[in-house]
Amino acid sequence: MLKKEIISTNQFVWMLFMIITSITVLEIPGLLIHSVGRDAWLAVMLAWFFDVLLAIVYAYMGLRFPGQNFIQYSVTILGKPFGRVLGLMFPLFFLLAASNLMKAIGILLSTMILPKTPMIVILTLGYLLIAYALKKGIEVVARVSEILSPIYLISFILLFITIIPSVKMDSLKPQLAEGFYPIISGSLLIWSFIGICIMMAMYIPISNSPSDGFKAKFIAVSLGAFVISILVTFSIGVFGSEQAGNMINPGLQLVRVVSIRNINVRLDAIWFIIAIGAGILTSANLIWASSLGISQIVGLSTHKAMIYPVTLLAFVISMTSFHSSRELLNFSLYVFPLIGVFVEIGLEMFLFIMALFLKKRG
Amino acid sequence: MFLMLIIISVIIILVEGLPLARKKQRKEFYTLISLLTIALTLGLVQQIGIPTPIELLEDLLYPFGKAIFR
Amino acid sequence: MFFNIKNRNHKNKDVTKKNSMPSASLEVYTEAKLEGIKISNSIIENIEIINKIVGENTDLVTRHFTLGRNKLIPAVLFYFDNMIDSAHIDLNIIQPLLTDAYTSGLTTGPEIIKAIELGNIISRGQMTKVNEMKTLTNGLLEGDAVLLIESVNEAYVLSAKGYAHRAVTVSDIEPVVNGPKDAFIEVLSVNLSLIRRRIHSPNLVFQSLKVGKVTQTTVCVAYIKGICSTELVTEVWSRISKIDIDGILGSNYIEEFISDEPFSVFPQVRNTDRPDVASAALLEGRVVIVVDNTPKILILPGEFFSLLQSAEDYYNRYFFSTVIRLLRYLAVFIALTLPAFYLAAANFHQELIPTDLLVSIISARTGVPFPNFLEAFLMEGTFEILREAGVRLPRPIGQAVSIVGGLVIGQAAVQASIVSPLMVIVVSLTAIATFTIPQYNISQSIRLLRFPLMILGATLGLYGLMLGLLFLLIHLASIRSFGTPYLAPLSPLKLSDLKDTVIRAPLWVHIKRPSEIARNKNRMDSNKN
Repeated sequence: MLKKEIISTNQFVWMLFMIITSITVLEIPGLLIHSVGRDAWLAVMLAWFFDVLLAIVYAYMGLRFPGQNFIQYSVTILGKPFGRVLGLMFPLFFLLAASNLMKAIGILLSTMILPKTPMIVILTLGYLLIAYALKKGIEVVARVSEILSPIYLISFILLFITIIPSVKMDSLKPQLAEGFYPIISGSLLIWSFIGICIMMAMYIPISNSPSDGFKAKFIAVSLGAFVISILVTFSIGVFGSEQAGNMINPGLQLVRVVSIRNINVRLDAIWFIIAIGAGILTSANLIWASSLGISQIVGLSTHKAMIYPVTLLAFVISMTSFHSSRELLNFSLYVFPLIGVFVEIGLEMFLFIMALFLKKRG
Repeated sequence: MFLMLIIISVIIILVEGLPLARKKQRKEFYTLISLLTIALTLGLVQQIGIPTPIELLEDLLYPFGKAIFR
Repeated sequence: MFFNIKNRNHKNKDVTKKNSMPSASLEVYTEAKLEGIKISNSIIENIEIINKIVGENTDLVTRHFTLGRNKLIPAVLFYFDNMIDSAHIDLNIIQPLLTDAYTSGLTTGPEIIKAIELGNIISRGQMTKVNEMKTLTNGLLEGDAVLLIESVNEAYVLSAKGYAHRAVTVSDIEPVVNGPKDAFIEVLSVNLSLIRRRIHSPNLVFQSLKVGKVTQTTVCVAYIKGICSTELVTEVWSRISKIDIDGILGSNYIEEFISDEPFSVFPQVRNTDRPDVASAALLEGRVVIVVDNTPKILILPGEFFSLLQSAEDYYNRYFFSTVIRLLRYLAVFIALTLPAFYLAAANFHQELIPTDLLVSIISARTGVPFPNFLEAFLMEGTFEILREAGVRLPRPIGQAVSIVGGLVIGQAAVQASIVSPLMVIVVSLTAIATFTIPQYNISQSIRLLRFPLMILGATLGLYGLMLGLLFLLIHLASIRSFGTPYLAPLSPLKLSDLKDTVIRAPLWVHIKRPSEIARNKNRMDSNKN
């Protein structure tokens, strides 16, 4: 057996931040604005609040079952057959999220910068990189995230600073014109994406200080929510809610607006490519969690051998589903949130209640 | 694409599967094979034109999502 | 003063007269074969054995003489010509034995032998008694003189090493403006003295072992006890002792054998020819490997950022050094990615280039027959050829290459519109950026990696470039150099170590040593409590 892999709290934070931010920024800001309109930032805030509440449950469960992730403790709580079936939901969900994200990346790339390159080439190369990274181990992915995520955050901050002059705050008025329902449903939507940070339950067992789990998650989610809410707010401020809602990726459009005075150069491609890099690493993380989960459910001694097959599986799913950006949007808007809410909130709360009820401890 | 999938699967079996089989890690080997089979099946399913599980899932959940997220 | 009678093997002498191939004995002596041959009482027998082993060499000197005025005892001195300092031999070994002994009142052979035994007569510093033929031969081959005496079943190995070598000169690989200028040379003992002169600590340890079955090269492992972690030293030692090779001709032979990731493009060992850099590394708790016959020494562990440091960083004022360091990182990035970035931008992302510039690029490219991808490869390839030619050629002709190269690569190619002027700028900027990298070995890796990145950039635009860089980053994050993560201290992040990595903080801030490497982390007393 290989040496146990350990990540530091710092890496934990950066990885979570990267996962939350890239999965939301690359897929849904447009959708969010589309369905919530001018109150999008409120929805993000609400989702952030709920997510922090949820994080308490995850952190508690991580401490109650030390050294176990939710796949392992679902077996501990519910016993072998039922716990396994339930636990299998998590890896499958991660697999779905990863392939969905990769496909989103592929579609963005082929519409934005590589119109002539076939999708299969883009995805194959991306997945090859993921397979390579995961074969090196999660520790390596964590170290790379630790370098890439700060760059990612800085790129956002630079974007926000440069965009401020173009923001028209008037576009944000009036607030709450549509009542509360869009905010609630919108927050559910964004919560299901931010909720991907249930990955924290996978990290806690390999973290060098598991008790910092909540702190790490709190920092990561707050950073992520901050970035997303500013992004949607500025998108609305610059384009107006109607126009922004119809964009595939308002973030990218936002960068296009930034032009350094008098030089007439557009730096969107660079920002975009950093986001893509973070997205690929995010997928790597999700696929890692998925292959680890699957091998834990089957009861294998190592998950390393499962990395290539699971990556291939994700590749096939990406290739065979979501053929156009419209289909992908439909999936992300109407289907993924339901699955997300079911897995991230429903299953975990169920496990939590069962653990309390059955008085199980790790 | 299906041909490519088969080639990749064979490579994966050679690279990952054989060492497992040699080390007599039966469970690992069968899991690997079944994962690859699932991947190939998904590829094949799409090739033939039968809806993939993702599409089925989408058909199932779409109305609910539509109702909630408008 | 004395005339050495070069009493060579008689058999050989006879044959050489006929000017034909001397009949060397075909016997091959391996370590194992020499093992167990004891030195006998009879001097004739001993001479015979030595002659059998190394006797056919023309540079073996055999000096016969007798000890004592009465009760004569025959003795013989062996050494290899020019491996020894003849002044030592004459004044400290032969003169005392042949004349000085008698002035002190000794007359008989046995008396003199007894005095030698007590260490009296011979005035050479290093003298060891051996009773095995193997150690005797080793000593002889290393440049020691060997004294054999009738009826004594031991031999005296007298150190009288002295051979022609380069003087200690200015470092030509890592020149500095401020700071010490001396550099290592090919002689191990001189190199060790250059380090010892800088660190007057009883804890500085030099331990050596022989590597190479045929060459028997001395490899010296240096570290400071109490600062360097013992595991590191043990690991280095065990890796070196596992090396199975016939000969070590340069320190990079060792480097290739002991690297953690032999298939990585990146060097995982820092090498230098500067004693001050070696000493600084020792003080950081690193292990230094000095190899005989090489001016380049190895520093372990050699993680990425230590390879990008120059000695000059510590001799300039810290403000300046910090700026230079940041500039150097920028240069590394430029050297690695600029051509790839240019190709990506020109082929896929024209909007990244300011419009005015884009217009002038396009107008400059009119008439250039090749696609810019080919153009870039042509230019980079030409440049690498020119550089290689410049290095290989003797120095006076090297100048000519740069002139011709400058003309070919620059003006003429542009005028003949084989390449566009912008490409010339890109290539030269890249080249100059490469020159700022202080370590030659890592600049080679970066030169090499530029080409795959160019292919990626030209085919997949920034996406390709990003994939390539991410791949490199993953690779860098995954490798270790002797247990130290290669990207330390950036990842895993050690904020306190960044002050000597990203910037060069003032020396009085460096309270602690690099945390991944040293065992004793406190550099200053103020940190003790």
